[in-house]
Amino acid sequence: MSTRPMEQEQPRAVTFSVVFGILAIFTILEIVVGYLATLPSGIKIAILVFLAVVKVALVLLYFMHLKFDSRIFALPFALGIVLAIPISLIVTLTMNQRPFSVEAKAVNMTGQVIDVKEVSFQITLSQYTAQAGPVTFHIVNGADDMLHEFIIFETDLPPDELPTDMSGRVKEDALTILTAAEDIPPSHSRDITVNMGAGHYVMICNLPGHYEQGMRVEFNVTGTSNQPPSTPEEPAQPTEAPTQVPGATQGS
Amino acid sequence: MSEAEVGATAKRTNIAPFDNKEKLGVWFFLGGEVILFGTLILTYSLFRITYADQYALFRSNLSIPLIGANTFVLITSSYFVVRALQAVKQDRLNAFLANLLVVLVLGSIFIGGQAYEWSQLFGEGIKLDNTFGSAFFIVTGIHGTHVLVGLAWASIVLLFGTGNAYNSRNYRAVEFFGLYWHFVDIVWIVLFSLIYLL
Repeated sequence: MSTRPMEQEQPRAVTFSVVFGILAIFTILEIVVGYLATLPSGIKIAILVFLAVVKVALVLLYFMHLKFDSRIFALPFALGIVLAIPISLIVTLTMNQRPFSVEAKAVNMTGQVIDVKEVSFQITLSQYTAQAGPVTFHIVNGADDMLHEFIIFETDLPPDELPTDMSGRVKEDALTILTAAEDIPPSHSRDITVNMGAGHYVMICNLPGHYEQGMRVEFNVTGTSNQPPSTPEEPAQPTEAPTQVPGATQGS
Repeated sequence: MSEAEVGATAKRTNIAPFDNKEKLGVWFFLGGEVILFGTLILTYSLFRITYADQYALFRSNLSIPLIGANTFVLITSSYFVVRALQAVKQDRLNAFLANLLVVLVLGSIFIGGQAYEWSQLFGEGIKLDNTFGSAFFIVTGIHGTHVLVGLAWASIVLLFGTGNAYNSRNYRAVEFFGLYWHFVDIVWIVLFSLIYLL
């Protein structure tokens, strides 16, 4: 006579208490590791993933009885995980991507063209020097959900020593502003052409907290120009050409 | 009840796991839930890898101590579900009801903690129109909805339990509720690490 695989060994109450104790200790460990800023990120991730995987396994095996029941019950669970992988890949790949390599260039760029990429919270330029004369800055706000601006100061001060107010914003009145592109929406670009004389410039985003968090960069212009450099009183007309980054949502 | 009837009942309720189609059905239901949460979790992971700097800024708004305590509460509730099931299997009906009541209280505390966290985030200006705000509220919201469904399920089991509907020969409803609750617990274990710690 064949014997059916009944619910074999039944765990004792103390087993569940021990499992609960391990889950509680692991949760505390997770919080501690999460707070350890000094831990290298690779080690931190490895520890946290290990703790989470062990916790999940303990709940599955003991609280959900997989250790004592037929293994066939684990099949739908495993199947769900396998199916979730391609679905999430499809979702991610079909989401609105914003490739910066295919940015549209404005038609009215003149002179030297500098690509500017602003993300939260960093400004990157394609080059940090230029020859005196007209320079076009093609500014892309690469942030996904945050406005940025681009202000050019003509100053001898290093970028991290600009005068700031109580809120941490740079005191624009205390400095010479060459030109500015304000409130560039996320995933949009704007072009500014300005006639620059030889000198030292600092470029920042002065929205609250952005300068303090690192959105500042210095820029040097060398040589002489046939045209006089812009002055605050008579600024060169910035040719702003709002363009949208391909793939970005309208009105974002 | 005759001896033969008792035997038949025992055979029906304590059958071999492989032959337990109802239980297998519950596991298939959970498999569907795995697809839902697995997709959400993996998409969230890929999203935050792609926009790592913005995610770091968003995460600075989250409170690890609050949600750490909430996580502990949910894990503890899972333990009390186990205790409730053990109690009903041993015909300790009062203990079964008491443990289930604790589950209801702990689950409600978890929901309260999540509601408090959401209100704090709304107060800080993080709403659904924020990229990571929307992802966060969708993922934690769907999980929270599952906890609410679990609480409703637990209330029904408790209600039937007070009417002596369950005993050592008839505890499948309690067991199935437990599987669901533990699954919700597992999802939170992953979400806690993914959203708050990693």
